[in-house]
Amino acid sequence: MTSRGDEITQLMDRWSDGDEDAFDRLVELVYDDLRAIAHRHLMMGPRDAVLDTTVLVHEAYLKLSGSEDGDWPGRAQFFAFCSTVMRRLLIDFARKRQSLKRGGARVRVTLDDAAAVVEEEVLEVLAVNEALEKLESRSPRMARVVECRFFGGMSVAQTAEALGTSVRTVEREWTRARVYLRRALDTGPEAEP
Amino acid sequence: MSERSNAPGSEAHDRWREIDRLFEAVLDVPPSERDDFLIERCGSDTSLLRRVQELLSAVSDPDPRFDGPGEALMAALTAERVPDDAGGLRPGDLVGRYHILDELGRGGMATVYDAERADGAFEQRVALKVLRRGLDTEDIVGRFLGERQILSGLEHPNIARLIDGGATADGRPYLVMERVAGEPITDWADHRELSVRERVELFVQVADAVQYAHQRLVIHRDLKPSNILVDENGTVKLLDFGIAKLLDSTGQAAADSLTRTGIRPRTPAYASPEQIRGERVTTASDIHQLGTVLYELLSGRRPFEGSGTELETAIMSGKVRRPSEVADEGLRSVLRGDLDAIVLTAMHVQPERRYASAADLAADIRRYLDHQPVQARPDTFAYKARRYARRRPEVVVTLSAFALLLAGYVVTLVRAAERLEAERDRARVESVRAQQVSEFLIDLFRASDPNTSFGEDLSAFDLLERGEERADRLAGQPELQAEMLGVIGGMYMSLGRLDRAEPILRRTLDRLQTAESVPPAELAVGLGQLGDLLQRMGRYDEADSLLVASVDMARQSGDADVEANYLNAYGHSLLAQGSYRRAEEVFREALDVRRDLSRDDESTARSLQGLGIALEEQERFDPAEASYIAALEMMESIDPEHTQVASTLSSLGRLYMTQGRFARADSVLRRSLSLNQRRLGPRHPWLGLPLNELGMVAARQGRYEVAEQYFRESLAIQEEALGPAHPEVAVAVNNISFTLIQQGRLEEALPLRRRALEIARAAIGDSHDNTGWFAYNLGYLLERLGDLDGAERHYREGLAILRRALPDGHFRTTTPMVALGDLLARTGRESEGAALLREALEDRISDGAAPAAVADVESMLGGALASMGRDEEAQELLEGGLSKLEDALGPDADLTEAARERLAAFRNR
Repeated sequence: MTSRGDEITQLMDRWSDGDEDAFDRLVELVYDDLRAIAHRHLMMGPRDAVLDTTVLVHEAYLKLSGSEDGDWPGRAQFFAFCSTVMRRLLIDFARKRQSLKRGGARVRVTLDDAAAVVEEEVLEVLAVNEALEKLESRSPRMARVVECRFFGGMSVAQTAEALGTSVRTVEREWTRARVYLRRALDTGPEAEP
Repeated sequence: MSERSNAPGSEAHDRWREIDRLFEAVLDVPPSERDDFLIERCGSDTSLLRRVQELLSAVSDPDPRFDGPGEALMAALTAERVPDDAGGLRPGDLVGRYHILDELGRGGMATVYDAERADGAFEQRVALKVLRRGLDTEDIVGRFLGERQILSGLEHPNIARLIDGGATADGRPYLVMERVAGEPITDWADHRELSVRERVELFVQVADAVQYAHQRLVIHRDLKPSNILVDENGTVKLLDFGIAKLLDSTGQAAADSLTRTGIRPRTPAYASPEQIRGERVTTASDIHQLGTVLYELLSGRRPFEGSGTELETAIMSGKVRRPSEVADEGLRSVLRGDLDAIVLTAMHVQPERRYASAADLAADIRRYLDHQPVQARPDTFAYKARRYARRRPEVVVTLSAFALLLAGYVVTLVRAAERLEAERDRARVESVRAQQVSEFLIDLFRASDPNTSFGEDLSAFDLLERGEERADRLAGQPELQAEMLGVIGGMYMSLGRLDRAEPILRRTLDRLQTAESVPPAELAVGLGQLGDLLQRMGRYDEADSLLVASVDMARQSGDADVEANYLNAYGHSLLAQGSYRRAEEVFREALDVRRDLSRDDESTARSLQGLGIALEEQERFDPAEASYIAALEMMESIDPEHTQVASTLSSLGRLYMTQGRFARADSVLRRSLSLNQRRLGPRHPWLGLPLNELGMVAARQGRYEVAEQYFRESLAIQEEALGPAHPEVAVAVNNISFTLIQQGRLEEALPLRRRALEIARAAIGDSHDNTGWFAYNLGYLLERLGDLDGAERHYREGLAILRRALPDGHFRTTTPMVALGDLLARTGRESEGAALLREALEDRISDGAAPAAVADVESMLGGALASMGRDEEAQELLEGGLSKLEDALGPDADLTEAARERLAAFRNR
């Protein structure tokens, strides 16, 4: 393990103990690398492949930890962490997409009919994220569960391990989180979760 | 804001927790017992009961969006990909006249191979660069070959030659370049432990080579040590000259799919500020990169550290530590002075402040080597003044006039300092004058007879007019007269009567300039007030010269308040002119000036807001948000009901809208609106804009009925305040028509669209892009109503206007192009239609448009070509377009459906 790998492991430990500063520092350390890895996958992947988060995260882990083999201390936490970062990547990407659609950042005060064609996925990702932001302000842990399950493609068991909690708790939170998100998505800005 | 009411500890948050806990608990209860359980637990709290029951009912009805992981969504979103590089080359493969020996490396856009000449004509090892697949349309290859022609003309001993190029068997463009055996310049120098002088001598070769290329109009764009090799003999070779541009011109659409800003530099650590901003790259960018390389070569450190946003921010800030500060102890004294100045001049954050050419840089380095004084110099007032004079002739007059005045003030001040007595006199004179002004104002109010007043507004103007008359009588005391006129002019401004303010502020300035001894800070205010006024009136050239002069003068006199005020005004002028980078610098300067005062005030909040706008316009959303929020908190601590709070909320709301955070945008904009309604009354013209923005948010969310209501309110206010022929009225009318069409009320929308266009034609003419949009929008509606002649006429009008109003190849111009092209192709004018569609397709690809926007045009173009009998091309485009639309929008989207019909029509002929 390189010293950077050690630092990442330590930070991950601190983060799983609830230290949010450690998370920020982690993002600082690895966000660019993850972005580069995701970018490369997207640029080079076969056309119809589904973006495989697991492969992506595995590769990121190998690169960041400097570990050559399958020795994975803190692997589960790392998955959770990558899920959060994937969310950010995706949102950045959707925003970029959205602003391209509109031809740049300047807010236009005039609507034209071309504006009606915005990709569904872009709007959906943005809406999911916004609903999630709201949920996050209520319950950060529930948001973390959603990140693992939805953005990281992790199973309930993996999520439980990553967040250091029980399968039962994850199931409960996931059930409730989906209800809250759905309500926020269906009813728009007025909705209280 | 809603996010605040969500904060832990708040009432709303506690309530949410209560609901959530009960919701959690009830999930463990068997379904048949849940109602009883809830009734018991809730007691008299029926609202709690109702909320939890609602949540429960949603559990059994899960949202399919969250059934599985979001991967399918991600995949659909990121479907814009460069196809697989499956055609990668292996050792032994033949490309043109060259055998592939080995793969050397892969970049984002191309793969580089070690290769050798295969026809045995002579032995030659080369580097062969092959573009990735998917970029190889005929047109792009053509452009690529054209560029190659220019590059192959570069013959210089220090530039690696471009030998050959062509297309591989499967159509991918490739380049063949001289293969250079050498080390990066920094490594080479370190391994041989070169002295500073030897390093500088080595670097001159680099600058000369760059100058040679610049004279042939070739910009490198990616200068960095790994592109500057030195061979065994100590000869420098620059690699990849102009390659970056070649790659960008062919692959921008693909390369951009995940990046945050438009054109990203290939190597961020060596990028120039303008590259990071995605602006047009000129030779000045190469100069910056030369400076960066020289910095590293001399000091052993890169000027900018970090990665990602941190790195980009550092580069754009232009704040660089001198090479001598970061170098090892032993080098510091050698680097300090001339070499520091040379490096920092080359790296100046403003392109126009760098060396004008690589030759100038080389010449300055030679001066250093010859122990002559170098030309590089630190920023000085005189230097800046000269620079301004060179760039903007209209400023010269103002500045030199003030330079004279300034000399006078310096003398005055020095004398005053010498004589304490005089200083005291001055203070006394000033306090007397302040008293006179306030007496003058009190007098005015006393003189206004309540019995003859015509209502509040009129009497305010009445008062000001009377004030003007009185000030006229003070001709013998120009300083006092100036101050009073300044107060009156400022009042007209704040009452919104800019036209009345102008002549008065001009007289103010005139009095100040003719008075015998005016403190420079007062003159700065006089200049700044007029500049600010003209800036608001849109007369930017004159405004800028006044504001720059005002700021310089305030700085000389050490009055930070005045300096910051007019830096703000200057920043707003730059924003209005679209110079966002410069505006950012100016607002940062204003903040720096005030930092020393370390207090919260409105002016600082305005600077923060201005900075936020400048950042937002550069798509740097996170720092923009932080800046708005800082401004907001500062203003709220001073006066939570201030209009400045509303204005900042409005900026923040717009930012959220741009980012697609619609719920936040909605809540922030509504807060801004209600603040303004309280302060300004329900019909104030300022309310039109926030109402329009709220409508935009609702429309973007697909809540068209809500949007319609907002737009209608906005229209009522605008019509009343601005009259029925004002361009803002046209915007509101157009936006209402949009929401009507989305609701299927086409007939109702038609008169509105006609009206919007008529207003715009008369009020803003046909060089404004809005007029073009209104024409296009009318055409679109007519087409949907079946009036194809009318549609064509208005599409043509809209296209012609947008071609004039927007830059060449602008993404948005393609909208009417596509509509018109498709209409023509469907009404028997296939070749004109196909030409337009092809143009639009190219523009969209090179602008990095979303895949659906590209695929839609492909399908239309396929349809046009099919009617021209060009079946082979047509089939490829029709099928490709359809499959991409299916990927991007799904099988049921309208555009996908239309593409499917086109393909079916083609097959059934």
